Amino acid sequence: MSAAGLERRYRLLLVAYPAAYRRRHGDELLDVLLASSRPGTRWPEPRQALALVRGGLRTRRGFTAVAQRWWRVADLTALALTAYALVIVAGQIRQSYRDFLHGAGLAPWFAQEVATAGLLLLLLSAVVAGYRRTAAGLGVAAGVVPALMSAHGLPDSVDDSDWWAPVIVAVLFGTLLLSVGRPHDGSAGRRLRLTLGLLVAATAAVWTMADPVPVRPLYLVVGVLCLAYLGAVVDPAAVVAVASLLLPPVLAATSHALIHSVELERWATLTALRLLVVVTCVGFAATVVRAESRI
Amino acid sequence: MSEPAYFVLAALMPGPLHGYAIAKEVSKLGGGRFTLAVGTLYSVLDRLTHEAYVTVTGEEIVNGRARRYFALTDAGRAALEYEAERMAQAVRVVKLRSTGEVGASST
Repeated sequence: MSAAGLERRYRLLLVAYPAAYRRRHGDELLDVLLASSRPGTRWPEPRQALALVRGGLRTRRGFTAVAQRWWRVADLTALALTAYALVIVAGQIRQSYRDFLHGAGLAPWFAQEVATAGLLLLLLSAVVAGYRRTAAGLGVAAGVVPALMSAHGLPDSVDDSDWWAPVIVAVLFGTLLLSVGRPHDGSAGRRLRLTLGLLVAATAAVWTMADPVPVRPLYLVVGVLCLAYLGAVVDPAAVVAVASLLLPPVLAATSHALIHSVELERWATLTALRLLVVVTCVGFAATVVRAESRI
Repeated sequence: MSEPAYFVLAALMPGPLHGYAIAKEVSKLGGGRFTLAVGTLYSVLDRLTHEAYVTVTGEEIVNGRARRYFALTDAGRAALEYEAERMAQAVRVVKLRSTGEVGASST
C-alpha cells in the first residue's frame, strides 16, 4: 500500500518531463527511484523530488539552448522590452477608449497610440519569424513615428513618466543589431512560446507596479524568487531578460520625481528595486552553482 | 566536466551498467560523500549520451519494464583520462608548493 502511494507520488513528479520522454523512460526512472528509497517510506525524499523537477525542466529545455551566448541574452532582453512597451501602450489605448465611452471625445493622441501598438505588434512578429534586420527597423519606427505624428516633436500622450520609451527603443535597436547574423534560438515555435511567456511576464511586471499593488510584497518576492529559480534551471538568459522588465518602472519613477521635484514614489520603486536585486542574485547564483559543480 | 559526469564515467570504466547500478557505484566511488539523485543521474546520462561519451548498449526487460545498459565509448574514456590527468597536474602544483614551503621554514 505504502509502496503504491510512493509510486503514485513519484509518477506525479515525473510529469515535469516531456510526455514522450516519460513514455519511453518513465518506468525505468521509477524503478530506480523505488529501488533507491528506504522500505516503508510513503513520501518522495525532498532531494529526489527537487532533482526530478530540475531534471524534467532540463530535459524540456533540450541540449541546444545550453550555450549561454551573450547575443541570446541580448535577443531575449529586446523581446522582453518590446513586450513591456506593448503592454504599456495597450493600457494607454484602453484608457483612451474608456474616456471616449464616457463621452470625453476621442483623445488627439489616440492615433499615435494605435500606430505605436501596431508597430510593436509587427516588431514582435518579426522577431518570432526571425527577421532581425526588419525588427531593428521596426524598433526605430516604433520610437520615431509617434514623435512625428505629434505637433511638437514629442508624442502628445507622453507624460513625463514615459520618457524612458526612447531609452527602451535604443536598447532594443542596439541588441537587435548586435544579434543580426547570429544563429537563431531554436525553432519559430520555441520563439513564439518564449514571446508569449515574456508577454505574460511583462503584464505581471506592469500589474505589480500598479498603484496600489494588490499583493503583499513578501508574497510577491517569494513568488518571484521561486519563479526565478525555476527559470534559471531552464534558461538563465530568460531570467536576465525578465529582470530587465523591472528597469523601466524604476526609471519612470525616478524621472517623475526629478521633473516634478516631488519625493520619489518610494514604495513602488523600492519594490521594483528589491525584485531586481532578488532576480539578479538568483540568476547569478544559478550560474555560480553550475560553474562550481565543475571539476 | 561536471563532478557527477566524472563519477558516472568512472563508474562505467569496468563495463556496461544499468541506471541503478551506476548510482550505487557512484556513491561507492565517492566514498559515500555524495549520492546522485535519480533525476540528476539521468540528466547526466542523457547529456553524456548526447555528447557520445556514453552509449546505450542494450535493453533488458525486468518485471515488464525496460532497463537500459550504458557503456563508456572511446571518446568518453579519452575525456575521462584527460580530466583525470588535468586534475592530477593541479594536485601536483599544490603538493610541490606545500613541500617547498616546509623545506623553506626548516632552513
